[in-house]
Amino acid sequence: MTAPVLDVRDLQVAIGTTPVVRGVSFQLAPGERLGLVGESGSGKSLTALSIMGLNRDPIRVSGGQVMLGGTDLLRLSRAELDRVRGARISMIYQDPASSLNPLMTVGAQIVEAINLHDKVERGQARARAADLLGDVGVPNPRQRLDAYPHEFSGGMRQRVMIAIALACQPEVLLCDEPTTALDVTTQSLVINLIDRLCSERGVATVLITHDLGVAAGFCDNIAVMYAGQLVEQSSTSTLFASARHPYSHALMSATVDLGVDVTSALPAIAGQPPLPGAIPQGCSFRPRCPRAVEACADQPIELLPLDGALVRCIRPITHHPGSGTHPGTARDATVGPPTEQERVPNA
Amino acid sequence: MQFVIKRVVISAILLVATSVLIFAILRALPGDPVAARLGTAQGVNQAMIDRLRSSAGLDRPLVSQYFSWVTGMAHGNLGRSYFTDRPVSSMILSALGPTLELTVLGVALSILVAVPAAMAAARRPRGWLDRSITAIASAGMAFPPFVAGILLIIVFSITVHWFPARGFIPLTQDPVQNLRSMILPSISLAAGAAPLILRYLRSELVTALDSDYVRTAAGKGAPERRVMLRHALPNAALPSLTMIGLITGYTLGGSVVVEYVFGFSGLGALSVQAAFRRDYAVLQSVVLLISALFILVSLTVDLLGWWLDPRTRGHRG
Repeated sequence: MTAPVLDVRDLQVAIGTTPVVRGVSFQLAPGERLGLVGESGSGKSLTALSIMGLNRDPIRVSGGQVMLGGTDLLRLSRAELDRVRGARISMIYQDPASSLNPLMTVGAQIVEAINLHDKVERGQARARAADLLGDVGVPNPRQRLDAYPHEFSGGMRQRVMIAIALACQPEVLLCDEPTTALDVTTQSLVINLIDRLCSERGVATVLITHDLGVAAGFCDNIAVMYAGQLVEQSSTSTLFASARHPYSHALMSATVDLGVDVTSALPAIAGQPPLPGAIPQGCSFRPRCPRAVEACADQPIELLPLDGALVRCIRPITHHPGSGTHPGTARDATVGPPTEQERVPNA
Repeated sequence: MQFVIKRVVISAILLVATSVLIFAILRALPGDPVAARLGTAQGVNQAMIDRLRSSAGLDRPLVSQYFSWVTGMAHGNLGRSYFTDRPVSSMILSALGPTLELTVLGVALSILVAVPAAMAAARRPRGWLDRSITAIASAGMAFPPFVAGILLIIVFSITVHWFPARGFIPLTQDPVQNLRSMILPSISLAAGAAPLILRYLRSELVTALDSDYVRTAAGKGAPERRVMLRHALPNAALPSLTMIGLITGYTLGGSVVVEYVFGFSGLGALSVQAAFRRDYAVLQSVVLLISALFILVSLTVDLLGWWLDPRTRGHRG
């Protein structure tokens, strides 16, 4: 296996003293697309912002490592971090309307992204900015360089954000719900654009979304987050065909029923996710889990390998036809040994 | 563009309304300019009083007095002082210089102090630096300009003799002495005005630094200094402009008092003198001039903000 471009190890993030991201680890291979899905509040965005070092008080990283190539981004000084951000790792944010400086032309904002890492002369930087704006599909890029953000539509602003993020050919692009603030018709255009540009440039991507339809179409692998932890990670096809964790299974089933091309929000799952600071002992999903038994409360559950996936559950769903043990298992289950004993923890 | 027209029209209406109000209030005040001028002079008879009244136009109906004041103004003729008989326009002109200079220097000094202090404070809200700066600002605000002025005179003029305590030397006569005589009065004014600008700009900066576009800038790899100066400060300064307009008005009022403390013969001294003498001819024009300056500054600042903000200035590109 090739060395990962991004290797997040046991990332811990806290708001004040309350842990909100509780030991997230994942690796991103060159050119890979990883989806990070989960309900709002599950810590997806905080994970991305922490990787970029963009957290604000009182949110701070309390542990772990973020290895980009050979360097741990969490150990860098601000000046060192400034040389990495925007150059080797970039981010696209949720709300393009507020993410651009309203007082600067979009040209100036793209040129800034270029000049911070590449001291090229003015005309050259402007030409590059125009090329970028053209690449992201803004019509009349040369003229539009002198326009202000308010003169762009939401979708066009997000395209500008993509141009800024890709200005210096990063190795990794973090997309934090890049289409959530856009209207439905623009969403797929923007996702397709990210898809195409990242393929062309070989950029490894983390896509944070609560839209499983988008994740299914875009990602090679998906990591499901719940209450600040990864509960399942596997290839997209495996996850949609046979999610093992009851939480991800509940997520998938409703979406798959509708068809993955339907952009749908996460299906409702009975109960509420736990509040940070009030996370139950043992498995955090236990209070909402139809399969929970007493043993689930005993001790923290490990994220362990299971059939090529990683699952954080001591009673993972084993897919066999016709089992109706909980809503949503009836349809796509596959035959498999129905026991927990097959899991051999080898951590 | 509509905004500009609307703003100019409103300012004009405001100016006319102010002139009516000033005129009415001064006439409603007890006291009589002729009586004030004659004071306790011996041998005054009714005929003399009537002659003085009519020569000043005080026997005419109020409406006609108002209109002759306003039409005279249009020709640069503000009438003559009821007391000294000197033309009001020349009295005002000689008093305007010190007041304007003091106001401009006071506001400039306030901005010069407030902007860096606000940036330092906003970097870490509720940090020790923020708390110290806010505490010093509150202390500065607690001193009325004349108290600050007196304290400064005691310390820097009487105790250490660094600066003159009183007097105004015109800029045209001796620029160095002029500035020396302006330092203490400007500080007295800035002591009250700078904290106001500081507190407003600080809170705008805190908002701006917390915004998504500042996060974008940091995500691009912009150093902290650039994030502050290029992204946060312009966005915070724009709404603060209106505040600076208001503070200029406040400073204009403050300079009237400060002049008095430092013995400048500016608009302050002129208006106090005119008020005691019930010299409406002088007082109404001085008060109107100060009001007009205030209206003009607010208008300028609003138009400047409109022009600097691409969202309001209109579409391009």
